[in-house]
Amino acid sequence: MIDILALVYIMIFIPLFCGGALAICKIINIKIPSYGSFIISLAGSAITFLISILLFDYTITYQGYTLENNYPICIIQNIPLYFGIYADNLSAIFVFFLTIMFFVANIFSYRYLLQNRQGFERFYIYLNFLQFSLLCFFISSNLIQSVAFLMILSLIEYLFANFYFQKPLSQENSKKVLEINIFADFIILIVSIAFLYFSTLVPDTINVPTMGYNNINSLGLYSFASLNPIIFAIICVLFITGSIIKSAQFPFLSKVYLTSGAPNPAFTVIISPVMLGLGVFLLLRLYPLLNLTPVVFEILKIIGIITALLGALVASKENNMKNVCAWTAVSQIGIAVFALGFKMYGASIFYLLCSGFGVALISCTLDTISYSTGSQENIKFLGGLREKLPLAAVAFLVGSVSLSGFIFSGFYSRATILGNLFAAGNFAYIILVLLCSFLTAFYLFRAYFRIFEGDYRGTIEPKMVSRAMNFAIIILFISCVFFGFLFNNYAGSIFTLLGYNKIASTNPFLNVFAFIVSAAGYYLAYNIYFTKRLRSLRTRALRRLAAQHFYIDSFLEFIFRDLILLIAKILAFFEKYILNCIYAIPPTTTRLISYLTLKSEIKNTNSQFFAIIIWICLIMLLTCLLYFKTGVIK
Amino acid sequence: MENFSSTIIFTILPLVAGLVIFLGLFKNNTVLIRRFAKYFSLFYFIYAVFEFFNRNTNSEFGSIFTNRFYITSWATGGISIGFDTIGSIFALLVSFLILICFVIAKSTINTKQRIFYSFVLFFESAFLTILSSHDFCIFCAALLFAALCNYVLIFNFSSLHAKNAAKHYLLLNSFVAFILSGAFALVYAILKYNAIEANIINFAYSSTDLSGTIQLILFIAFLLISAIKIPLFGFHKPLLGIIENANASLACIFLSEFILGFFIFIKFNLYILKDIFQIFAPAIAIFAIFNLCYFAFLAIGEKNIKKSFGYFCFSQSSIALCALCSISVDGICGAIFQCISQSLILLGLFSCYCFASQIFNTTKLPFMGALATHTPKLAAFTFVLTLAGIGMPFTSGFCAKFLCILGGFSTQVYSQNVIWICNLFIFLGFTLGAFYLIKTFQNIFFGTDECNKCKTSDLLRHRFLALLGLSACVITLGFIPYVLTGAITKYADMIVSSFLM
Repeated sequence: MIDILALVYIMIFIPLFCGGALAICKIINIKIPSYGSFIISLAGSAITFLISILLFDYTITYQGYTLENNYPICIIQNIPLYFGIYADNLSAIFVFFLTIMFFVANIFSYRYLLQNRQGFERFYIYLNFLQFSLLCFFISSNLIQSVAFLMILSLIEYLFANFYFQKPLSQENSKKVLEINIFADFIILIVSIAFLYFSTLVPDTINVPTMGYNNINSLGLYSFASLNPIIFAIICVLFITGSIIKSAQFPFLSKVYLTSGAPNPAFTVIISPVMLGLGVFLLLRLYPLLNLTPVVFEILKIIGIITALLGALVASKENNMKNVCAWTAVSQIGIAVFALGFKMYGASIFYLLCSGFGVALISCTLDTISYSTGSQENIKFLGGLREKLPLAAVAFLVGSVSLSGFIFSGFYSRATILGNLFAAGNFAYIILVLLCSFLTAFYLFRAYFRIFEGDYRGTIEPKMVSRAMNFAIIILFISCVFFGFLFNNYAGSIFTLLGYNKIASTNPFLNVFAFIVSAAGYYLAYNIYFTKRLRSLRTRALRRLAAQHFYIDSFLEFIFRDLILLIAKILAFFEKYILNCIYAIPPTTTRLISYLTLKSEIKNTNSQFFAIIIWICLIMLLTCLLYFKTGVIK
Repeated sequence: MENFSSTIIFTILPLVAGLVIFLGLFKNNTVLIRRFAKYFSLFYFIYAVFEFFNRNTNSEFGSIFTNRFYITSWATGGISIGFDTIGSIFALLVSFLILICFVIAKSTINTKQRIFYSFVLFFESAFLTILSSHDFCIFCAALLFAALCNYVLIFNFSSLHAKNAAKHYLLLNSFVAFILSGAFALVYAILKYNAIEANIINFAYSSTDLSGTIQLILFIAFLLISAIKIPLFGFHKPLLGIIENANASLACIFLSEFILGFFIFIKFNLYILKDIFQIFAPAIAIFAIFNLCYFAFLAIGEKNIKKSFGYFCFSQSSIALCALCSISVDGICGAIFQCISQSLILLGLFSCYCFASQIFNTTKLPFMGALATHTPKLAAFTFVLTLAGIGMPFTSGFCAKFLCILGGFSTQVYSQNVIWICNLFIFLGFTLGAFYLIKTFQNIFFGTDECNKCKTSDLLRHRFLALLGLSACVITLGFIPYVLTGAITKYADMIVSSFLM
């Protein structure tokens, strides 16, 4: 009999062990051959992948059973903080997805890093620590553990964004990423502590792990009953504020493309729902709490759909391949958040994962193109790569088709959301989701036509892609094609537990209409970028706005830098001139008094008069001070 | 008697060691002086740890320190002396800070070593006397003596601009110490009149019997001392001038001043004069929050690395002050933990910044950059300490911030709306502090390469060891905060229960 709990602990600590071993070798200068780091890391990720399959199987077999374990690791004040495992269906799905992503990233990374041989060990150390932190986050048993690992993940994201620290752009962007993440982390930390305080007032929660997810329902209900409703709403709103910042939702969209300085395999992980969906995962975990405050769902709806639309619009203008992937990921997560806003808990997770595979496939494909064309990332200087990189072309096409909702996984997830919206009679939102699909189809096929069709516009002759890279693409290719179908038909029990309705219950006419809308997006891209018949349809104003990211970056720049610096300058002025003047008052007064006293000695009547007034004032001041309260000195 | 003698030895030893150096026993042999001071500090620190450890009867590390004052009357004059919980912890902390500064001083103090080492030891002795003394007269004398040592050190080992600041700081300290002496004289007279032995212990017991006016006068006097040492807005200029021109070895001096400020605030303002504190707590809390945000903004805008660091120090101190004003067990625990954590982090960061400014030969941030490629060890240590300063998990900074925020929420003094508004501003202060640290780290270690003409040797061995010690402490406290919180909680409980009574 396999002890699943022990295996889960092994799964969590293997990346830590691999990363730690590599870090120690680096610190004490033990030279490991370049493939040594790769093999250690790959072996670690393969084992975690296998164990995650076992965990996944376990959750399917024992439906609704949650694997739980807690170790007290430290006591702050009288509050025990636990390191624990809470592996329910939700965790199992995300862990499964996570381990696939890391396995792929490891396979993909070796050839990529061999290009310039820079930071080989560093990359694998960061990657392993990232995997460890993510596993700890997704399997965490309590909110404090989640927040702690959320902060560590912010740090690792910064390290990846600053991986090529010789590049000034990487330095600047990584700084911004860390600032935004820290901002979000502090919000979540403060609200978590507030919630911790209010929830520990419950007498029967003393013996349970602090802020445990197994108890979140009763904690939420108790807090809701005992707290001022406005304060409870503030707690929930702040939770979602922190979460949407972590998930790069409106207005913090730029967070994702700022991490584009990371090495491509790591970037694939960063823009996948594994990293970008951290905030959404937290919201899913806190769902029972948020469910008590309707206003937060309204906020989620609006923010989700705005993010999806803006992300898609910006991606339509973007020429950098990495940024196209980043904006695609943001847009897709926006729809998942939007679905969560409609309390479509299961559909939101399903969409998140389906789109995650699509985005990862596109990202990996574009990475191979970048590798093949000598780090050329501007799609303007590419073209005609279909013959030279046929697998990449097919993979990109499959990813695009899936994300646009034509067929494959993307179709199932979109149909579920549309079906639910239709059932609720939210036609306005259906139109907005369809608009997103239209834009997704448009910009993905735009990228496809620019990269794979026409003539090659680059200067470096494309080289062959290694088999390992192709293998990584094939894994994602299969996942992207079959994930939605398999899970919809064979692993639905998990999603049923999460409140997900099968595709069979959706409206077929709506699905056909959605297909037509996506096809319209494809048709437009085809006619503008392939046949070039409808080039005149391009709207300059919209393109300009999209190029400027709808001035969201400028707004954030103003808030996070210019405004702070402006206030700092005003205060510095106050400090330098006004405060110094105030400081000058006591010595000046002393000099004045001594001058007046001197004058009084030479019988100057005016000075004597002033001196008397000053002395009277001083005596009065002292008297007031002494008799301030009781007037009696014992 | 055992406690009495050990406390006397503990406070007198640095004075004796300082005198040995000052009186020229080593005949200006700089190597001998340095080694003597360093090893004395090391053994002294180890002795301090063991001394406090031995006091624990149950041999549990969590309850080394007791809540009671150790009172032992001296037959000849009635001097009572002894460390309470917080005094013990602060004494340990300061002896550790001074040890680190002595290690760093090897390459920073190149002249007048005799004066430096002897006066730092004098300062340590004075500091410990303030922590342990229960006598009004000795307390005030030690306060003045510490200020004088401070002045001598800054006057001799800082640049020309710091001398004026040192003078102002001494004047301010002396002025407030005289006010305090007057107030103590008043208390002394009252206690004697009521046939009570006049010392701080009895003052603590009978403080509630004193009239409101006297309590208010005493409160203002103590608040002024704390305001100068912590420092609060309006009193920060002299200390800022000192930090701006100080070198890494002098960090122990201004950090000890912060600690002293907190000690006086907690012991006298918060515990002994609790009735008045309850009235003033909201005002002090608002002032501390203002401090936090004000100095954090200034730190971000400032181009001079040491000056901006000074602002950052003041901002961090205000976090602890905010937590103290919550009058809750968590808040007081958090404040003390923050005080300890920030002392370690700030010493490390200040040393790193000083080493960086030595390499670039400037204190202007725009003329620094890309040091990470030249000095990776320095970059690594600065990064660890920066993360601790931000409040990353598994560092002492996280535990401190965690407890401070928790204390803010668990207060019973203010309404929930006020708590939320206050916490919003505290959040702003935290965020600004984090932005400052990130910006400074990025500016020094990344960015355009400004190292063309500077000598770029990485950390020397002794500097490496000093930073390693500090980083280890910061991380250890992050992993096992109970080492401190276990002891502090009892003290905090005592304070809060006195408020409830």
